[in-house]
Amino acid sequence: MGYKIIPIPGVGRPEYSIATTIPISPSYVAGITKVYYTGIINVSPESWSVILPQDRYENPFPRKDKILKLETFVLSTDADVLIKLQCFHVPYYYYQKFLKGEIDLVTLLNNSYPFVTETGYQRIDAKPLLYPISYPDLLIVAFTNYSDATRTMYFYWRGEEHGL
Amino acid sequence: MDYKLVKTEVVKKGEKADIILVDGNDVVYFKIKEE
Repeated sequence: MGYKIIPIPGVGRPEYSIATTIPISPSYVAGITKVYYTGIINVSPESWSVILPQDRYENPFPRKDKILKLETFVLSTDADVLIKLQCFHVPYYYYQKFLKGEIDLVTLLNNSYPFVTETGYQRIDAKPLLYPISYPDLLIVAFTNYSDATRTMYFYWRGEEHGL
Repeated sequence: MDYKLVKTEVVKKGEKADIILVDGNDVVYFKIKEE
């Protein structure tokens, strides 16, 4: 609640009614970075869009020598239509082949692990339960719009990046 | 079904952004590149 109880020394039972006004930050284990990624995207009718989340320097997640643990993923859209969310654990080996142009996007995803596949109307709230992806593997997400009109999709994922 | 890989680029704070990344204490704004 933002208060720290300070027992008064030497007076027997601590006086718990005394509190400071100094806020106490939630405790995090050293070396863990919280990552939030949120946005809006228009997805064409009966098609899917693929996003490779990257940081400021165009590094995919997880970054070097890190593990990304995905906690929550929410996808919603602007109408009560069928949508699908997929989160892929992409092996580095196939990603390199993709970057070299040796395989296409579909082949890349067919060789990846879809650790989240959720289909629903208008809103999907996925809980990957801190599914871990270790560097140099990476995260790719895909949104499918099954309707016959372009849909605006709103997405949001939250995770933690730990040291290896 | 058709598909496309969405490409993004970093934009400055204050510019119109489609995606926001909160990376620890760093906040990064991205725009989706139209093809």
